[in-house]
Amino acid sequence: MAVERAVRDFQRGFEREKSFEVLFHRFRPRIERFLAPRVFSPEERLDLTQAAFLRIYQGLEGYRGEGSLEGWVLQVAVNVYRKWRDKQPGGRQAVPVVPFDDSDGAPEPSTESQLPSPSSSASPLDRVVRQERLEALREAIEELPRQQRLCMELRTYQERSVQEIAGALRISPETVKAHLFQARQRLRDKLHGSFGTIEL
Amino acid sequence: MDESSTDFREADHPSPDRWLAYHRGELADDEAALLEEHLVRCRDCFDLSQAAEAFARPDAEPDASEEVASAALWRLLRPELGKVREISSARPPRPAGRSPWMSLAASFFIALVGLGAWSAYQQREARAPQADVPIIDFLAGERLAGSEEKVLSASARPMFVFHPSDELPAYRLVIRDAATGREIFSHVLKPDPDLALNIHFPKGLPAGRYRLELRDGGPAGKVLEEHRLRVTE
Repeated sequence: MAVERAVRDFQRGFEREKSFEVLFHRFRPRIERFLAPRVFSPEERLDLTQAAFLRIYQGLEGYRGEGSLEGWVLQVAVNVYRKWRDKQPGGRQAVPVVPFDDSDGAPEPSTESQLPSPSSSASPLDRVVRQERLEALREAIEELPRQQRLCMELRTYQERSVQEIAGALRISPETVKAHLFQARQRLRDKLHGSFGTIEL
Repeated sequence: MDESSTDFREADHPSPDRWLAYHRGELADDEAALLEEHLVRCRDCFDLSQAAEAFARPDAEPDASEEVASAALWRLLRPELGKVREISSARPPRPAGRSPWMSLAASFFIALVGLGAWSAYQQREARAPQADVPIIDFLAGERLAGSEEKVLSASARPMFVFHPSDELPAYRLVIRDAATGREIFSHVLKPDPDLALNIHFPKGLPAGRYRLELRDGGPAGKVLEEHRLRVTE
């Protein structure tokens, strides 16, 4: 394939820039597709794309072909993105994610944030009750049907958006919403007996 | 969730290629299910999976505006590539022969300034490139490709070059016996002007399988990268 040949030429020092251009045109759209929804502006996307290609250029000589070239490029792009994300004020929590598009249009708080938060003023009894509720909730999530559980765990523990969950699990955003809806219903039914009304 | 993340740091993370295969629907159902379970507990792999999902989508036919944008970015990138090349070539040449006059001068210098300077000289020597030194590059991204293993002969006197993605002032390289986990070597490394970390093993390494951990500089620094190395007889 043209790209593999370009890598060999690059590593041999033969028309390096021309060889690298082949890689650039092959992988630029993929890297930009990954970065586009995760950065704040098109300029930032271009800067990060450029940074990723500089890293690729630096490291390509050491690429030994143990995994696929595409996998290697992907890893470099993710590393560059993570480095940028971790430098943002607020770190990974601050960077944009595809917005949560729930039926009521309101952002959905995480399950844990619905529970009374432990504070220095909370009595030992409050803390025990909170801990018990969390345990019960975790157990109830564990017992959900697999797809509902995966959606709920990604939404609750990792605070992923519907779009992100859909991409990760290769299902449509509508299916994710349906799973989340059904999971919440089941959790409400199950936990109502133990703790009265629970907001999910 | 921090605890879970730590657990998965110890476990094998699926490689980028496996995530690509997952998103292209090339894995068997049970294997895909394993990856999905991993995803729920591993934030790092979630990033990788998201990137794989973007990579796995078919490329659209480039229209005129796309080609213009691509050409514009390439024009911006090209001069920067030249700078990368300059930085790389500004590194000390590898391999470089060592003149006997240098050794003599160094010996004379050692006699003059005593044991302290001798110690410093030795440390410099250990990092300096030598003739016929195999250079093994360890890239930051290779950590996740769990099965990859560098192979080296016991007779080689290798130089390891790490390219960490972080920009820390100091790192610590720990080499462990892969089978027992026993630490057999530990050394602080500081980045060169190219942000790479170089270390030379003038006596080579005994045959065996090793796990190389690149940690942040503190005594109990967290593991930033892991690599596997096999040294053959």
